[in-house]
Amino acid sequence: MSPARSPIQDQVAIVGVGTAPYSRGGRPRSSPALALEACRRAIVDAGLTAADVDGIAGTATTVPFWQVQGALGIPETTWGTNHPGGLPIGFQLVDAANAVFSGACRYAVVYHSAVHPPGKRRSSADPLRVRAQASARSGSFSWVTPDPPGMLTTGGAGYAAWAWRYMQEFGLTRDQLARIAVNNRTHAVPNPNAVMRTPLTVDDYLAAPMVYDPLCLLDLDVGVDGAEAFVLARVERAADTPHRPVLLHAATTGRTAFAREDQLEGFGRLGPDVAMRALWERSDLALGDVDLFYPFDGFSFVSVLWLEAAGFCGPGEAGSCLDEAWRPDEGHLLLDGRVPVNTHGGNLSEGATQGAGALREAVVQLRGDAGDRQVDGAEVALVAPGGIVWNAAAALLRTP
Amino acid sequence: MVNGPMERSVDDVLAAFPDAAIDGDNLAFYAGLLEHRYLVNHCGACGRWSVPLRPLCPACWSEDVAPAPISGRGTCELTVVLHQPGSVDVPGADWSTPVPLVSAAIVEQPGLRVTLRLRGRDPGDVTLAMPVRMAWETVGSAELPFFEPDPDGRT
Repeated sequence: MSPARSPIQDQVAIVGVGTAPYSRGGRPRSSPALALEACRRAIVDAGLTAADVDGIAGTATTVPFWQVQGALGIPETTWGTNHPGGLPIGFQLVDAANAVFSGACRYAVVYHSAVHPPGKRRSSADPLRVRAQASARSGSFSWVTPDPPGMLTTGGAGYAAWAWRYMQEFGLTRDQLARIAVNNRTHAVPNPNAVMRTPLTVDDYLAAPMVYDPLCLLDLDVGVDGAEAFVLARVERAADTPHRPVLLHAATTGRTAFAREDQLEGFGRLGPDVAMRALWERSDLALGDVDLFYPFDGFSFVSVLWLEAAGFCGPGEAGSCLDEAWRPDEGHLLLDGRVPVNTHGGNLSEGATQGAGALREAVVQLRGDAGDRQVDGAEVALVAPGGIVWNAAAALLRTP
Repeated sequence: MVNGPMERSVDDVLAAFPDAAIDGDNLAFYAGLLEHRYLVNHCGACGRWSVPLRPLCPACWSEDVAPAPISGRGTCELTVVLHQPGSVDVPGADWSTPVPLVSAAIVEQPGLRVTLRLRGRDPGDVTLAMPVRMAWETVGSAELPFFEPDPDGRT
């Protein structure tokens, strides 16, 4: 057997997973409260106690890892890191895997919590939600203080502008884009953790109000309060844990130099392209081995670019790829006639936890514990959290 | 190259843009807006234009970088039509009608884009490579640029 392409390949396993159930509206729970629930569940799921955990990686500027450590009563840690709030789960995952592999810690908890502030128009009577929104706006989120002020295509507007460009260059239609939204909703219907469970049709999508034309309301993810956590360990320790371990075959992040929506070079030269090239270089698996695909869907159009970057279609061919994969009677996509997409509903319909929900779903599927949603025989999942600007990441997970 | 900042006191610039995150790296840019000049950093060593305003050329690492005015002429590379206030604050927009934005490739350098509000063209009529030029309007205490169709421009 030839040596693995990367020394870390299949050497780190996800041995625990925990969710703070998603909700929207009503009185919010704090970001720390959500993170603590997810971490506690993940550690228990791994058959461990607080004393076993010696590494922590998290997101959300409001809940740094050292506070999570104290609140969980984890007596000693030797490794920890935080990423800015809202950063998709891939960065923490890669960092924690490297830490576990290197011996910086034995058991690392990775968490991501999301608290949904109200939109500008959706005024909320709840004073805690209003304050959360004000705090977010005055914090480190650069998209509310453009630099310089000509930088108007941030966030959703920036993604919509690139969606327009893709439609202009390659003829992608809104009917084709609708299939991503409908696919995700179809998968959310049987998912008790999903906040959007009313079935959706392409016609419903086409009737939805425009927000960032050409993106409409149903192209945008759904803010939730919720959290996910994972426990990582070296594979030799995984044998002692109660559930079937899920191996991290390869994982990476990817960015290009000019990380600003309106300065990105163009299609084929975006973060997902960097991440997927790096992932395949570190992998001994191929696209044909992938049984489950979790492209990011903070905006539906992001999934289009991940489809291309992963290699499910050629440059500019995502529209025809979505045509071929579409199963109108079932209301879902099957790539290459067999690979389901975002089997939990994604950020669009389960709820926006920035890829953390997709990682959890991949682990649960590969354990064989997905219940009504279980994809029979699934052995490899490709999870691709993050957008096209600066926060793309990708991971290949597999059964032992 | 540009003496805009010298003509305006720091206090004047800060007062004109009360909500902007103004610092030493972008003060000249905001001062330039008040003079109806859109300034982009230009490298004195290699000639490259670069955004955002940073005191180092990303192409050659020269520190001989200074803000210089651009022509404001370009062609449409990206566009979006905002139907409600979202993650984007568009100064002066009252949201009674949808607000189109355009990212234009500026003639000074391939790949250099400036993003502004578009006026004078129905959002549905915006096309790839449509020529645009920069014009100016007063919004509160600020002077801000926008794009409009350029009848003399080339695609």
